[in-house]
Amino acid sequence: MRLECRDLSFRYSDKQPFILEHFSMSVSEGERVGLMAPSGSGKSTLAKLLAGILRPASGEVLLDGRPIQSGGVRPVQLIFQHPELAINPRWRMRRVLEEAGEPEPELLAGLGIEGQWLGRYPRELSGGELQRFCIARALLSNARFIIADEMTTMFDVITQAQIWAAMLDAAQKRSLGLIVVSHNRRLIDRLCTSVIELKK
Amino acid sequence: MGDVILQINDLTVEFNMYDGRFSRAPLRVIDALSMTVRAGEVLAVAGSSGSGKSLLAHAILGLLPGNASAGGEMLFKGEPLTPERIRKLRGSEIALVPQSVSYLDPLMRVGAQVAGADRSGGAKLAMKSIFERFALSEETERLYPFQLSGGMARRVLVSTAAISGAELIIADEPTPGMTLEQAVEALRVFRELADEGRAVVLITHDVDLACAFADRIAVFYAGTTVETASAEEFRAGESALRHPYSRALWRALPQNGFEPIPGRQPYAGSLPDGCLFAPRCPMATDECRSGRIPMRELRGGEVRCIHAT
Repeated sequence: MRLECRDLSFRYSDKQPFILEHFSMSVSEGERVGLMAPSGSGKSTLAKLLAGILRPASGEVLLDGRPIQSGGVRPVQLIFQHPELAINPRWRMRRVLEEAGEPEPELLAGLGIEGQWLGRYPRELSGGELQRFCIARALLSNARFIIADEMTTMFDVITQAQIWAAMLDAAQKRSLGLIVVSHNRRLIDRLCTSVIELKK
Repeated sequence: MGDVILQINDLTVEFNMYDGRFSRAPLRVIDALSMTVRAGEVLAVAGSSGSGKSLLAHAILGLLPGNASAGGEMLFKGEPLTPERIRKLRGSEIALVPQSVSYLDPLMRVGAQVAGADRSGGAKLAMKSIFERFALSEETERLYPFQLSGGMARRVLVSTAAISGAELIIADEPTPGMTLEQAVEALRVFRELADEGRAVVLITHDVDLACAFADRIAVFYAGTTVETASAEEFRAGESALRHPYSRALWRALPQNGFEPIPGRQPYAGSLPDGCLFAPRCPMATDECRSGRIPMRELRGGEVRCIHAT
């Protein structure tokens, strides 16, 4: 499987300058591509374009040569910097997961999610714990590609290493393609098979 | 060494939580915390997310929510920080760089917020020079907070504290969302403020930045400090550190092994009896599990571990 974008351009409105112009890249399954760029240069916008959440002004996003679907459960899943904003605050964690699929105990154990957390509301868990649910949710949806947009920026280094150990393990078992967006050069060097640097 | 600016002795912070429908129980989130900050130094407070680092900042500034109470003693330049005194000092002698961008007034242009009420022009000049350092364009002054990106808003918050003239600056996670270059620039500003004789408390989970710019690092875990070490010792590596948790932090850095330890920090309200780190510690013995472990001096630093050498 291969996720690619060709000649992608995007701006938020006709009056604003282009955030991305004629940008192309590709990721294959099993690959881990790091994406580094100054803030405000369109990293998060690119992540949303690749996931099919935003539509490009021109150019295309292709999954195995076919345009990426825009409805339903997406095969390219995004994980954001702030998990508390990516989870319905009025749902218990079990329901958050069930939206994507039946939670498999083995998967949850691999991510370090404790069984009793499923009965809790998001506000009763820490950010690091919530982020594990976001990963579990993405995996349960049978995503083929996962884009981690500053996934561990808000966490201490032990939590960061725990979350990435679980993520890499799952990615390897399922032969997922990963795109890792981060400011942290050392983290990218540690995680990725290749690096793309966006210029402003 | 400079004069002691801030001295904290045995600080506790408790939240009054509802326990069921009718009873209330205190939940202790900071316990037995002591630290000293001197003029001319940057003290980094580093450690796990959710360990109470931000609450420490809010306790010093008297900004705890209504259902929280602080115990112990806090001295600013040798005199107790009472609620009345902190109200007077806040913003003039003690400045906060808040963690959340939502601390900016949404209805006020950025320039007016940074320069403050000072109309003499001095503050405006200072603002212009600091904005230039942070690569914030002149138009930024006329923007409202909602028009700023996350990284820009952080730089605005740092600018505010930098030109305040405060003697004690408490920066609560000032760098997330900034690029490395911006973060380095922000920390260089804090370093310079300290070199001019101010005291800076830098609360951060970025161990790399703390090592590069701080003089000393206080390592926080589950609501208290487990070690105070010099930044040099953190740079030197695992063997120079004292507490098993500090060593685990060092080993978890992407450049030093990226090795996580299992388990999680205990929740306030269900803390273990003895050492707070014992459930995850490879060195833990029965002695570690009975009674709180006091802080002790060791090799020029401090550690809360009976096995540390």
